[in-house]
Amino acid sequence: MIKILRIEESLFSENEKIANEVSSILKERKILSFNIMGAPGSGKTTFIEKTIEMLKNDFRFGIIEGDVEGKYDSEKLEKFNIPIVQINTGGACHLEANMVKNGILNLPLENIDILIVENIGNLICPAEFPIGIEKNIVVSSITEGEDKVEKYPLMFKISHICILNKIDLLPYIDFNVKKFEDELKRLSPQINFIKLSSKTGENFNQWIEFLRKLMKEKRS
Amino acid sequence: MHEFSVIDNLFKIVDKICKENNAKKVLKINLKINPYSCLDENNLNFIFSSIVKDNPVYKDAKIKIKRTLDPSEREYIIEDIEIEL
Repeated sequence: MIKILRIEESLFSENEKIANEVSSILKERKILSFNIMGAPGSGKTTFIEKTIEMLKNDFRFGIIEGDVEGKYDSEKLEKFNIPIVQINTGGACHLEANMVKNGILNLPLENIDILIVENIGNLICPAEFPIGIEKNIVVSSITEGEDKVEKYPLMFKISHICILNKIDLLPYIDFNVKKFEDELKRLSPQINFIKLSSKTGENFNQWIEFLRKLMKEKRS
Repeated sequence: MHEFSVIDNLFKIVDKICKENNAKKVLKINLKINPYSCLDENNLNFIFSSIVKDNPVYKDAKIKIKRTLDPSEREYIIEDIEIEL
């Protein structure tokens, strides 16, 4: 006898349960949190570095660094003398909520205003796994090409903020910013789009002002 | 790569329900997935079949993916399963 059983359960139910726990822990402490995603080499770590450099006297940061191997990125951020937890996934291509939960349990949350999680460099897998972090940011750089939104729509769809990085290289690279932005806004009309250079600091203030506004909303 | 993680979760959920219902065989597992998800039916079936190849309850089961229309939510649902009692 054949029978059809309704299930209607999420494939990621366990991950979602833990992501909700992470979200509650951070919400309770009024910590603003960012999940920084993007391709390897898009400039995620330099973007984080510049953000901390510009705001280190105003806010207290905490960092979770996700990498497949090594601690290259966390060593780059050690100079700020802020709490950093390094997660090595040992092959996995994305962070999952349980890894982030372990990470935040090893941070002094009472001394943190802004938590930045740097996800594994990858435009596919991190988009599929919620980790309980408030704002998803995708960092895309002009050296990757203008076709990234079209090729990896889920990443741009689930992001609240899109940073187009390395705009100082625009004179040397064929990259149609309008085409990128039009495709982004067609896919995700609500997304906040900021073009900047983390290296030269060009237009970086627009991001800093946006972050300050988010902090103000968080504290009100 | 994260297909392994997906199959692991899927197996845990489906296996619990199959045991509760004394299923002799699972024939089909129907998933409802976000249209922009990179999960692919062929890849999932390849990994699933290599894991359950010696399990008489699951060895003939096929995973079917139906894409949802709304891309605004991360939706990864196990809709239903077809079993033989």
